[in-house]
Amino acid sequence: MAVLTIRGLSETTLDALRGEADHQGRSVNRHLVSVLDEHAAVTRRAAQLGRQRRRLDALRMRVAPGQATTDSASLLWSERGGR
Amino acid sequence: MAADSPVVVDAATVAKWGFNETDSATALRLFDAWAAQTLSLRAPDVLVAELGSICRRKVRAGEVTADHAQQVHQVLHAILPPLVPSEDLADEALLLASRHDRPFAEALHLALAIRDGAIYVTADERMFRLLAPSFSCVQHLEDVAV
Repeated sequence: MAVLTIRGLSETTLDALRGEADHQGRSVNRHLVSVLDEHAAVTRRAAQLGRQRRRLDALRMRVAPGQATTDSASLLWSERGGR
Repeated sequence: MAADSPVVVDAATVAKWGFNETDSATALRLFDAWAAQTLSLRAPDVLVAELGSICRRKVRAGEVTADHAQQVHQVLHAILPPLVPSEDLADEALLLASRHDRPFAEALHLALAIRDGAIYVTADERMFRLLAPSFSCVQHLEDVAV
């Protein structure tokens, strides 16, 4: 069993990490690095989605603010030939 | 259908994120829930072609300029949900399309929803009325609780 050097993790958390690491067949340290990598990727993706959401908001408002364009569902229906 | 089921979206719902339409706010709630990771979105890769077609039709109708459509299209492409290769769904989709006399692209979405135990969200009332009686996984955009 690998020795963790990160301070402050509770025994409960360590047990959970050990269980996950065992399940995935890798060391606890390697698993911890993977978990942190995944968390960072999720955070980056969330930030990217937030930025693009604001760009979309601005683009929607640029075309006749408050005026709706044709329903895309109807356009898709036509594109698919209706049936 | 479980409350935490994944959601299959089509190009119309994605287009509503970028173009101002009557139900854009509802579609954006779906996007926001996905961005907040409270639900999982996915789509067959045919969405790319259909999204491009929707953008082209909006330009052709004179509702937006080609430049504007291009900008929206670029942003939408940066935030597409995970795309599933159509080839993984094609056999089942053809069965569904033939059996229910539906367009193949629509059947790809249905096949993905059935395979993944997902909800297939459509903003099209006609499509919803045609599919919902046979497929409990089909929900109207307005009825999706997020």
